[in-house]
Amino acid sequence: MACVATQPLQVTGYRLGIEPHTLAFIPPGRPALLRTENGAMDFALTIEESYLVVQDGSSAFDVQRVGYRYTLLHRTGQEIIAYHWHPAGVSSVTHPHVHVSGTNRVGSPDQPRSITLGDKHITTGFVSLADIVLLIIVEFGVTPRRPDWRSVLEAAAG
Amino acid sequence: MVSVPTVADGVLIKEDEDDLFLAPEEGRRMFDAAVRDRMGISGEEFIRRWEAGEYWEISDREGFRHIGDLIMLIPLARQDG
Repeated sequence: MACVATQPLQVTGYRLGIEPHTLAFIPPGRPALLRTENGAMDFALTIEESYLVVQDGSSAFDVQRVGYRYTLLHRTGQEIIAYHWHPAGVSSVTHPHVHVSGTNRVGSPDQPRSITLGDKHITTGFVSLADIVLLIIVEFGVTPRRPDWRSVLEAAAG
Repeated sequence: MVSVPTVADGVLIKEDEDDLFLAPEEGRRMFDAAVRDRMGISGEEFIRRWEAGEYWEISDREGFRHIGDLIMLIPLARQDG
């Protein structure tokens, strides 16, 4: 996240257990403002990840992601695009998906139709935080805060 | 290897320059503040309503996804140190 934001991240735990911990920006609920190429702070980002600390049978520990919500917002708070994966929640949608805000107007002038995308659960593969950072830099013009951002993201993607 | 930081109640402790660990009380306070800011209710009331199922139908709908965001932050309010 240091590639695009200065807002620190927090985690709620580091112990083994069956209840997931959470990773999010601090303070929680406050989106991290993002600077774009024109120097303005046009966009903001919220992230929440649920994770478990697991042990592989030896003495090695690992972190297993078990859910995420990555949301790109306009600086006014309007949602632009939101990637979700919440397999353990109450929603019937347990596969990774994306919500794209907005309405598409299709059809002909005499038979117009509006399709609201925001409530649609558009199936995706699993996306990582590195994928999101790459998206907002390349597609939304967010200014990277370090010159080696590509190698950092590649290393994070493993 | 996972290092275990030292945490004192009510105090924000830094492990090092890059790692930040919140004491449980600080986490609960921040969760409460986030809920009050977005919902106008306490964090405790928000959790009560969520556990009662009041948000199950709407938390993933456009215009209400901030509720889903807050639901994922509930572990912040449930840390036990």
